[in-house]
Amino acid sequence: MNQRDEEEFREFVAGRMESLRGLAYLTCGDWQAAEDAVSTALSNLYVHWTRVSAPYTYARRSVVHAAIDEKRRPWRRERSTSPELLDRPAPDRLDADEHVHVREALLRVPRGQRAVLVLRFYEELSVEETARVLGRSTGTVKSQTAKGLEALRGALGTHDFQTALG
Amino acid sequence: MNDMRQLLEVAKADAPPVRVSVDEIVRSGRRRVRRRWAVRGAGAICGVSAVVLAAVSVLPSGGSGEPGPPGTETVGTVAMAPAPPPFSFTFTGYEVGDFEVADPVEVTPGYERAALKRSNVDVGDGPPITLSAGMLTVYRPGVFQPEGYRSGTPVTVAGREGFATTVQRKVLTGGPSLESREHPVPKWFEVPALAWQYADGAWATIESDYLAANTIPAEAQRQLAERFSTRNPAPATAPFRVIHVPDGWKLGSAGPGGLVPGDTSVATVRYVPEATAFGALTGPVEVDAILITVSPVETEGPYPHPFDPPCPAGQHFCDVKIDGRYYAEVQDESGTLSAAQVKAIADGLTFAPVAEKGAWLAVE
Repeated sequence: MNQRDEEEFREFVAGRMESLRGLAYLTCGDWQAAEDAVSTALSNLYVHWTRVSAPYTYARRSVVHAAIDEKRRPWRRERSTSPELLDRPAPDRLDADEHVHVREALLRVPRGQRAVLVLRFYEELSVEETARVLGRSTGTVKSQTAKGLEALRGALGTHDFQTALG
Repeated sequence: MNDMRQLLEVAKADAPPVRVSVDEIVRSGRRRVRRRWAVRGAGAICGVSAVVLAAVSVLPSGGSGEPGPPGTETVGTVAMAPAPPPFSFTFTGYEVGDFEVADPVEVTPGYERAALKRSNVDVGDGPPITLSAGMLTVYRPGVFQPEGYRSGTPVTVAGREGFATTVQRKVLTGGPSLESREHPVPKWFEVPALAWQYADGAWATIESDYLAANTIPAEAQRQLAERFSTRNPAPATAPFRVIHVPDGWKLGSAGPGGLVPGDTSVATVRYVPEATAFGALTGPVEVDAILITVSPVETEGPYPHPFDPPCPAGQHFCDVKIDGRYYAEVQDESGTLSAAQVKAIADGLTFAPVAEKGAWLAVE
């Protein structure tokens, strides 16, 4: 990779790392594992940088797969009880208690369904795009979306879920 | 933002600070590149090339394509500054305003190279930063062929001849967005460049990066050239000695680090094919080499080094643990050496204390 390509890559990493880390975290449920997944995906992207036509699409797919495959640090319920978490401000209209509540609800959604929900609603991908990222059929994505939403509804409670979906 | 997305944002609201830096990811990427020999040509495919036509007007001593030996003072009828000893550094870094010439990081039989940086660059988000801005190349007497610059504007630098011009840099790009690289389009950028004689028959060049924010304006280039001066030659050193080099290779360059931003190596030595010429140049020599580097041990991230096993099959490199802080790596960029040959080079390395630069060994 020449210097210009590397500078371009650096710009990409600097601009996208945070969003990719968030995507990985929502998929695997552990910040350290999420960062490992992003590091792996981005260093792999470096290798292919000059030949990848859509770097973010490539990185997103790599990150999600790495996060799904992450076995060493599964989504750990005990971390959500950490007092440090309660000290951090939650964004927008939901407060810290709700943050913990949502985390715990999300961890109850099976990993594959969670990945579908994250891609559909966090990355705002279409069914077809989500299917391409995960290497699954559109039918599977649709059914996992429905099952994932059902699981999340059950975990959150009907009232909170309806509130979240507006 | 949809409400479901807002809910997911809430679920990750406890984000800790990012631990991995861009530099670390780049280094990890480089490690992967080393292990994927198939992509070694990427730099050549998309490389930046400065288009400067060559016309030999000053032949090096003996016409062998190599610079003259120390003490050479004339070539034909052209006065020539004496050549410094081979593999010695002849200048140190300096600053002019926001621009900095770093200490040279590479010396070859034909030239030295140093990175140029520009500080206080406003990137529109956060405090100003320092970016790489170009390259200073200081050629040995009689080596550089400046004909490609002679169509530029004549300038006088410290009383000597020079030319300010623009050189074209070719870059393959996929379009205005990083998201679109499917159909790379070659783009040519004209960037300011300057060539000047810093001694009789000895030329140096400054070439800018093409990024607008980094470009070194012509006036700044002239000021950097005016400020340039040489010093008593200091031999290049490395914290290792190479005992075994395969037949057909010779010492090509040495220096304290890499030319690419973010490279953490503290010493780099390259062996190049015996036929590689360092005379009558219009630009730096690009050739696949046997690369020997010493770098800090990497224990974090996905690719710790020194690697285990030290010589992974089919990967064209061998790691050698030096101590708890540093490791050496022998990398065959050419891919032509056998695994046994790469291992023999690695096994033949002997080391000086890396942390004690005064104890380093002269490169020979």
